Amino acid sequence: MSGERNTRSGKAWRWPLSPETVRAVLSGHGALGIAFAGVIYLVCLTGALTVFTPDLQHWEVPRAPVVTTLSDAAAGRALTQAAQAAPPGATLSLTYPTPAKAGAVLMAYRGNRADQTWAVASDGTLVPLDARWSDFLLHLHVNLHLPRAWGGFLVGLTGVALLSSLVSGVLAHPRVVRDAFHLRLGGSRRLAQADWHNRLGVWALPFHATLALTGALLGLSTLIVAALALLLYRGDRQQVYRLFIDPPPPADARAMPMPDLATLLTRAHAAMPGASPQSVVIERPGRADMRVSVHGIRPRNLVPQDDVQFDATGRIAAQEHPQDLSTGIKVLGGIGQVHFGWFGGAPVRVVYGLLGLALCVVTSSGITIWLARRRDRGRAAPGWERIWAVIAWGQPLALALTAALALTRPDAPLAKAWLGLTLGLVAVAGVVPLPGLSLGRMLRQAMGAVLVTLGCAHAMLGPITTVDAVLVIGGAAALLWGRPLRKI
Amino acid sequence: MVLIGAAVLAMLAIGPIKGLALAATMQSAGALAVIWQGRVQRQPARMPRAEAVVGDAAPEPLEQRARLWRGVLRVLLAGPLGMVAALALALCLAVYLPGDPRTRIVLSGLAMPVLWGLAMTWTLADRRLLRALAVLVGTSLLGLGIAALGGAA
Repeated sequence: MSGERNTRSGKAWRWPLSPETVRAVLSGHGALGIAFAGVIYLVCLTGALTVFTPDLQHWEVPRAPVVTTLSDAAAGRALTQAAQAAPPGATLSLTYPTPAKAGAVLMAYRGNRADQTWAVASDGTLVPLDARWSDFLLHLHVNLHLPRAWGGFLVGLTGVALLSSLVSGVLAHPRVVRDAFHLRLGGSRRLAQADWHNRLGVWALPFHATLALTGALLGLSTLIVAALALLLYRGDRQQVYRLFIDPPPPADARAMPMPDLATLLTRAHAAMPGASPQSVVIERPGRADMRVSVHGIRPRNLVPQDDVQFDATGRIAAQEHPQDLSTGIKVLGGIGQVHFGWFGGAPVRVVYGLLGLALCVVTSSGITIWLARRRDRGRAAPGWERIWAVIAWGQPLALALTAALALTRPDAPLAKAWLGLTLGLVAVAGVVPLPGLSLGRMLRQAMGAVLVTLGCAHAMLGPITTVDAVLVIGGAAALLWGRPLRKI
Repeated sequence: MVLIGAAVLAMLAIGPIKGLALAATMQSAGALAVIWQGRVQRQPARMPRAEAVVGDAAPEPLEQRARLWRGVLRVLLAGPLGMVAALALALCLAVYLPGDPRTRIVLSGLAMPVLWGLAMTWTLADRRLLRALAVLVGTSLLGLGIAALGGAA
């Protein structure tokens, strides 16, 4: 409210928006939240879990080796084996272990989908890394298991809606400075939720805004490229992509033996002093038009900026170093790293995960405030209260159940199972005459029970991992939440 | 000042972009931890009175009578029309900003969601829908035209 005075440095200043404008912005904030809350919540929840993809992959496949270093000889051996095992036309991509992420992973892929994934042992042996649930989770986050263009657009639109909600949320909060340091628990449901909504929203604003922006860009990139191409390149999208990606060598399908990859890697490292190997990509392996690209990262950089390319004969065809790259290329490379928090090791992943869950709480509390306000005014919406309960607690439950399914039935279609569970839960909300709070409590306890069972069962079947411990602790917390603690 | 200082230190210590990303993340978490430490319990007995104090209550959303055509127009403004207007301005940035074309395209790509988000915020709050319609359509036509005149990035 403009009437809202904040005193700072002895001077009173007013909120720049009039009370009526603040109310109008708040109204838009609410409308946007109601329209997008479900999908924002789903994208944030899956995003918070996707941050732990490296950990989840090794939880799913505990026998997969997790190396902390990989020699050139071992990397060369792994790539040569993969070239023989991969389907024709597949591109090979080896990611080295780094201080931020242990484990070497080799993928064979065609288009956007990985055909095969292996973990690489310290001697170069390949062990299949068939982490289906991690893949399911990643694709649910990136494109909601819809066709790439449509799913990406929808997720990008969600990012824009989140950005807009952040802006309108701050503009509609004239007491943002005065309230910033107060977290008041208890009181009415609406007041308690409002405090959580505002504190988590405001103090983690840089994080939320960064994730929303980078997520929106990643999701809308197809649209932006299409628009650029349509307007400036007569619809030829390849012309836009060629600005960022080196064009492939002229096609030559003659068979060609693989060069001595270990030697190439050693030469590549010599060509990029100060950088450590980050990844190797082999396009068209075993053909005369093969290209081997070795990427290196320097300690103070966020992303690899050294690139040495070899042709099929082992000759250096091109190389790039940080000083050769435009700012745009560097920024583009960093967007994915910043979005997923894969740049700083386990502590950064944990904080990303927690702040991602905080964004889920912000979203959920926004809807709870709206529902509580309606109830306070005598316009309760019990149907919507139940539906929100099955989204807020039903989605974690559905994801936990799909994880259990992936571990027990390796061939189960996870995306269809998730969709079935989601629709089933929404149907339950429609027919079960329970208050939303009670339904939410039941779902939370069901989720807690599934998490505890999952963690214990997994720990009993294989080596105990950190993920098992997190599942058991998290599940127990969900089961015990809200119960009064008895003094011993 | 403390937050800015910590960010600068992180940028100097581990690299400018990496340090900034790390500082933004850790500072959010640290600030929330501090807020959690200072939490208080509301007094239930005083609560209704506190809520009723004039000037202390949080603002309430503006209640407007729902009309279908206004709802549909608002969705169009915040959605497709806002998107096209944002895209038009972003394309102008891609074409007319100085510097390397790849940098211009990436910056315009980053600007597009921001501009669309701002358009969304504005159109959902503005009660003069026809004015918003005129501004967005005008921006789209002018932006796309000016960008097309500029040629390839």
